[in-house]
Order: sequence, then C-alpha cells, then structure tokens
Amino acid sequence: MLSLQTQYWAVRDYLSPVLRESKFKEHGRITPEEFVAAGDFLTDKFPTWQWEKGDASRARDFLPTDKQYLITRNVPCLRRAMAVNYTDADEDAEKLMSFLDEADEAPGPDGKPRSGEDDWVATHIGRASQTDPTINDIPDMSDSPSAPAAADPSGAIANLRLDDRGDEVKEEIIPDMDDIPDMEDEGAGLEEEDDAAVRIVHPSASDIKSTAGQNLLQVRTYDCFISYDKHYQTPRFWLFGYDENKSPLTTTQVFEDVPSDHAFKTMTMEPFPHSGQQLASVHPCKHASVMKKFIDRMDEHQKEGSGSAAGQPAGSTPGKRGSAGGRWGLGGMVRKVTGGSGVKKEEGKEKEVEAEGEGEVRGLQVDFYLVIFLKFIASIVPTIEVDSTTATTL
Amino acid sequence: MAPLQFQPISSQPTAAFWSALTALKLDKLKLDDSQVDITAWLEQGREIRDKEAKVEDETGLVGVDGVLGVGSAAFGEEGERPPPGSIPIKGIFKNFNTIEEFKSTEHKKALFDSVADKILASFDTDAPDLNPFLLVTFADLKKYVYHYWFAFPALVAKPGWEVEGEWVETNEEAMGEIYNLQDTLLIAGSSNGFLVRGVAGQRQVAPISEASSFFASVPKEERCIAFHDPSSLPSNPGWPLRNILYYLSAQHGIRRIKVICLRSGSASRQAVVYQQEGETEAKPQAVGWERNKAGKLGSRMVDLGSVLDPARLADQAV
Repeated sequence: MLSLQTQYWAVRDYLSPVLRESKFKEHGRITPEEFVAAGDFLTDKFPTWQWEKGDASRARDFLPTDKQYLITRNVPCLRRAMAVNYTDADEDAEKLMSFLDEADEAPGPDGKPRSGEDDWVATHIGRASQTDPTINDIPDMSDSPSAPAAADPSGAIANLRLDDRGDEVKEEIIPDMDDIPDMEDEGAGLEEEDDAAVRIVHPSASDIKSTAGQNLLQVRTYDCFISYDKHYQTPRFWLFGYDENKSPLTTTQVFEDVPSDHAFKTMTMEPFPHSGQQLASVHPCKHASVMKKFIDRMDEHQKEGSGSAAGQPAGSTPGKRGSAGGRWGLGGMVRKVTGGSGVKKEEGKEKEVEAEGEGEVRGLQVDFYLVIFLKFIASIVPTIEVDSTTATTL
Repeated sequence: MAPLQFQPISSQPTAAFWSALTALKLDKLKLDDSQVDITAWLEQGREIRDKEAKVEDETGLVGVDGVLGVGSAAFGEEGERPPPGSIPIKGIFKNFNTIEEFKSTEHKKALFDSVADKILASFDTDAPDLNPFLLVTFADLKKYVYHYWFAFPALVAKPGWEVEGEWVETNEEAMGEIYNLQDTLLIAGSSNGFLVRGVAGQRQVAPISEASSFFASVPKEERCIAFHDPSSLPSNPGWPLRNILYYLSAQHGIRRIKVICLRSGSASRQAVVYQQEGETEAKPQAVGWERNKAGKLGSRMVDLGSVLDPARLADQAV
C-alpha cells in the first residue's frame, strides 16, 4: 500500500512543473533558485549546515549539482519527547501559538489549541505527558529486526516474558543466530586490560525510567536533511538518528522523539530522494500555508515598527535560549545573523537596536526562508535541537 | 597526582557509507579481500545547553563527544563531505568474505599489529602517522546486515602519564590565536596535533616532528601541545593524544608538557601532564579495539534492512 502511494508520489513529482516565479510572499512556496539562495544564506551564517551533492544518478536537474540538499550532522537529542514535561506555562510554546494566530491563543477545553483547520498543531501546548507508562514497557516486536516470533512459537514465548529488564536483552536478539559463531569471547586474545582508557557506560533505557535515574540523559544524535520538494514547492525535512552507542535508530525509536500528535501523521517514513534510503520526514503538504503565516506575521511586525517587533514578552527569560524576545521577531533574527551584538542586550536597549535592524532590511528577504523553516521544524520535533540559529557557535 | 585517562573514540558510519561499501564490494572488490585505504572524519567534542535541565544542575551543559564518522566518500569516490570543524583521518579497511574469517582472532590480531607497527615505523619520518584506524567488516549483502569492528591502535606508555593539578578551561582568546595558527600550519592529514610555544599574543606553532629543535630553547613550563580533541569530558582528553604523547616521549624525550584540548566552543580544556622517568620498551604493547554496546570487546552489527531493503519497507507502513 505504501509503495503504491510512494510510486504515485514519484510520478506526480515527475509531472509537476518546476516553479519559476517567486511566490513566497503570496503562498509560502519558493522556487528552486530561492531554495538555493536561502540555503546559501543558512550555510553561510550557520556553518553547521552544509550543501551536499548526494547520489549523482539521483540529482535533480533544477538544482545545481553541488547544491542538491542541505545537511547538518549529529544534532543532539537529549531526551525522548515522551519524557519531556511540557506544560501550559511553557513560554516558548505560548509564543509559537500567538505567532500562528492570536485567536487561537487560548487553549480549548481539551487543552488543545482552538485552531482553524489549516493551523499547525503546536505540539507542546498543554500536552499531557503522562502517557500511560506501561505502554513504554512492552517490548515492541516490530522493532526487533525480522522478528523471529512469528515463525518460531518458542521464540515468541521467550519474547513475551521479556519485562522491563528486557530492553538490553532485546537489543541483542539479532537475526540468524545460527549463522553467527559464538559472540561471547570475541575479544579474547586480542588485547590486554588497559588502565588508561575511560570506560563509557551509558545509562540504559530502564535506568532512565526508574525514578532515581530521571536526571540521566540518553543522548541520541540525528543527521538532519533539508531537500527541495518539487511538487509542494517547499523545503522538506528528513531525519536519520543514532543511539548513544552510535547505532542507527529503528523507525520505532525515531518516533519516540516525535510528539504523538505528529508521529505517523505529519511525520512518516519515506525514501529520501537523493539516496533512496528510508528516512523519517515531515510531510510537506502543510508547509506552504504554515510558512505563509510565519512570513506574514514577521512582515507585519516589521511594518509595525520597533514596538512589538521583538515578539511580545521581550527578554522574559534572558539567557534561557539566547534572547527570548528576539526569537520570533525578524528584528531579533536580523541582529543575530548579521552579527549584531544585540543578542544579550537588556530589555531597555532592545528598542534602539531594533531600530538599527529596521534600517538594514526592509520587508522579509527570501534568504530568511530556511531560518524560519527551521523554527517551524523545531516546533514539530521539540527535543531535537535542529534550530541551531538561536545558539551562538564559535 | 591522578593518572591520565583517555576517552576512547566512538565510531559512527553513516547509512550512505554502507551503500558505498556495498557498491565497492559488488563492483570493485568482488571476492578480493585485500586491504583498502579508507578516509574518515573526526569531529570535535562540544558542549550543548540542556533546555530541560533541573534547577539544581546549575550549568545545564551536556558534553557531546565528537565521533569518528565514515561516509560515502570513505573509499575515495565523490560523496558526503565531512562536517565543518572535523579533520580527515586515514585508515585501513578490510572486508572479510566469510563470517568465520571475520570472527577469527588471528586475522584481526595480525591486522591490528601491522597497523601498530606502521605507527612505530613512522616515528622516524617527518610526518609521523600517529592515529590511523582500522576497520574490519563482513557484509551480508542480501540481508542488508553489516558486521563491523573499528580499532584505534594506541601504544601503551609505561610508566603511564599523570596529570598535574586540575584540567581548566582554555580561555577564548588563546583558543582564537591557536586556531588561527593552526590554519597556517595545514598539516595535511598526517596527524592532528601540533606544538605551541610562547606567551599569549606571540605564540608560535610547529609540526610535532620538529619537537626537539622547536622546544630546544623553550623552558619546560612553556612547552605546549595542542590537538583536535573528540572528547567532551571535563577531565579526560580524547584518544588521539595517547599516541602523540607516546611519540613525544619516545622520540623526543619530552616527559612533561602542557596539553591543550581543542574542542568546539567553550568546551576546550588544558592541563600539564607528565611521565615518570623509566625505561622505554623496545616494543610497546598496543590496545584500541572499540568496545560494543555492552562495554565488551566485540564487533558491532548494523541492520539496515529497515532503511535500504525495499521488501521490508512495506511491512512498516501503518
């Protein structure tokens, strides 16, 4: 079923004309040229992002051969989305919502935003994170590769007995046990004990679930990709993850880092166009409309002048994540990316710096498109630190 | 005086690397299992801010170690570019045709020893090759399952190195100066460390092979070695330093030096390390096979069926 759909998408993509006219202010879509311009800006200002060529045989001819897609490697993800306790008081979330539409600001009775149908769900608004903990503890069979359970009933029983402690055990159940000679004493005879090496012991998932271990981190890293989607005429975001032992994450594990509102809905597994690998991706069908809202709002702030440009509660949480006030305002962003020193200014100074920023850029430039896009993506995968644009790097 | 311990390197092959390996095996190597040169990249250690940190943990900074990554460009073809801020590292790659050969201790030991010997042999050259790595694999191409094991051979110093005092943060100004000087050196992939001497603002650098002459007139306290450090631990430098120190001691008789760990952002550290006088063995012991998930010496396995195998993808559709 999926492959049929994927093929349909491939054909539709092939038939779609390449967007030539600039449309980004009208409906949030961009042309390949604008994608390249925005990508150049992103890689220039935030060098953790860089262009890749990808597989030459899969190159898209409407993009330059050496600028097929964008990548940033090993983006840290400290906690699972499930474990993060988002509350109504989460200021960043409030801001995102107010940014989308003021009318939707007040959460509805169910704690979800009272939003119109084309609004994006900001996942951490009033989201109850108290998902029944027992759900986590059931070993997920589809997770373990080529689950032997179906073929071998005794295996199935053995697996059913796996309880919480089974996490590690499960990881070691690998396919084709008979093919592989004894795994145990592999290291025997290879080398002597070594006192000068630090032993790395990562907390296991069950350690972290125990109450005593709640401060422990399970640091995963993600390789993030941004490609250009020809059909939807927007950028498209892709993820490939590694666990703390640097082994690739399975699909099920990746979706632990996607809030349940988005997992398997807006976030799905699809073939990455430049390599053919199956990666988790944010489906781009709503990108254009959300991006248009973001852009409109920023343009508006721009025009309104300095007063509210930096977003409402300016400097409310200084130092928490760069300048909180400037997070959504274009002015703030201009300051940051143009190397202005306004990032850590106090509230009083905010306004005058704002005025300077105003002079530099009139209206929103398409260069900023991907910077805004990353802020939008950060709201979908809040625990993955994709938005490097708020942190200052060396 | 605490013994100096090193943070081992973690390897992280990208999915595209396994595709490149598959292509290499099918199109070029076929049944040939001879050694092949391979290039990887080594990232720097860094610190990131934990947004959800508990209040009592005041810094909220979390260290993330830099990994040794291998991508689709590993075998010299065009492919993935190394991430910014990383350095290239050369190594030896060998793919075994059967799982039995892959598991055999003899084969791996012989390979490992040959790499360690190469490191020692390079001591007398102008560009000592101090940190080559070794990668052995067995690829089950039909199932998209790859067994692999990295090794980062390190020569064991006897007596071991010790740390004098504490590891402290390196100030940003010094870092800036050292990074600029490093650019002028451009030691092409041979080694990731270089010598530093002089006071702030007037520092000078040189490749490590020139240690004897470069430090000849420098008082012991002002001798520094800076290196590209993948570790992010506050008081443990990364693995590559091990062979650099061994080289300095064995080849140039340097037993006391200040170490500057070059890491990303504010994560850099420095400390003085020293080694007690002792007889240098003719043939040092070498260690460095990467440990697996369980912390044991053992190979790893990656199953990319879910990423690459078209037949399995249908099952995942919900």
